[in-house]
Amino acid sequence: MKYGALTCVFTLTAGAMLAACGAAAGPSRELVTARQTMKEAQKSEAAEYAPGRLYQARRTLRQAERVHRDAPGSRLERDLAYIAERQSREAMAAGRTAEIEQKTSEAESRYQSNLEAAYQQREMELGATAAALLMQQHQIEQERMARMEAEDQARAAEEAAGKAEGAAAAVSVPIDGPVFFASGQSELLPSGRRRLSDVADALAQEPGRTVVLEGHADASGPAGSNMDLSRARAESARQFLVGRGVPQQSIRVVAKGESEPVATNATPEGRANNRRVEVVSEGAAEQPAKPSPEAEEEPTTPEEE
Amino acid sequence: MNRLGVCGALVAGAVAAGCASGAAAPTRQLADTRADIQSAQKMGAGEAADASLYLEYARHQLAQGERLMREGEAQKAEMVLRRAEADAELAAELAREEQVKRRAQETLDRINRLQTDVSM
Repeated sequence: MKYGALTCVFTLTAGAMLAACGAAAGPSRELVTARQTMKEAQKSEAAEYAPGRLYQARRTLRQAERVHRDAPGSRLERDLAYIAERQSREAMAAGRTAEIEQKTSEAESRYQSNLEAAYQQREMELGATAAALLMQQHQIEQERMARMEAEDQARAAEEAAGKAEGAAAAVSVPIDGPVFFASGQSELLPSGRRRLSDVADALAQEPGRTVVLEGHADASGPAGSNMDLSRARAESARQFLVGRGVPQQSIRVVAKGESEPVATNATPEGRANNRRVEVVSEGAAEQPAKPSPEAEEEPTTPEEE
Repeated sequence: MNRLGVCGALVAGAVAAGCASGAAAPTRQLADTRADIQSAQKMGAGEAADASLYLEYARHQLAQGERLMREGEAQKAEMVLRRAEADAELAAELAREEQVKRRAQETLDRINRLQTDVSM
């Protein structure tokens, strides 16, 4: 009842105003523009992102249309159409803004998850590198221990051989035996230098004796490189002996590469035994007999060429 | 009969209102419109191209509304102030859109820079 009365008032008011002021029959320029803008707004992002604003604009436009029906071209029609047009534009702007905000937020989320994945990948790589380093350190330590053990054994064998040679040769140090090297290296280790110093001293006491320096390598890496490495090792030993006064002509150098292992190349210990220069004495008739049988059983027994 | 009488009285009132305003001054609408214009200014509507145009419409119509109020044209003043309000709100929304666009571009640039750093 109340609504009916209000409609009656509205209609009659508009009619009365029209009658009072006079008006054109077609829609005002403002209403035409407002209708067009509303069509645009309905097809725009506003429909999805700013439905509330769009609804408000539509409501104002409906009011303008009602006034137009009852009082075409009236000032009220023009004012309401003007407001509806602005509200439609506002809804479109709000829709565009909301869409930008959503897309930015999505890009940030995507970036965040990419970043986390990249961090995880880095952490995994770091973990793998650390594990590999630990393994290498462990292997190096094992090889060092094995080398020391091999040197101890060689020294024990030399001592045993020295004893077997008897009291007559008690002062002389055995010449034959191995000198060990670090993996991939041809520089003499401190133990190797000590050993070769003894050899130089022994040779000084026996002028005319000659020695062969046989370079060897383990089976790690290509055979060609190992041949070069074994030669470099024998050459290091030769230079050291020459430096200690041993005549050049009493030293012969032979490279054996990886061809004559004395132990397996499958373990660090075995490889440590294979990285060596064998000192083999020759060419002296007065040299006592070969080392004792127990010395011959050692893996470090020199190979005959 | 009774209803027709009421309507007739209202028509008479409306005609009177249409031609010579006797309605109360739209002070509330005036306050709302002024607040919306200030708000749009704070949003930076004066600096953005589209927004500044609508802000200018709003200011112009606010002045017009104030003049109509002084002249006692309350109803006309109210509608002019409503138009000014709609312009001010549109100006504020356009200014906000500019701000959001600028911030979004900054965010995307930052993401691109960081992504380049991460992949290096």
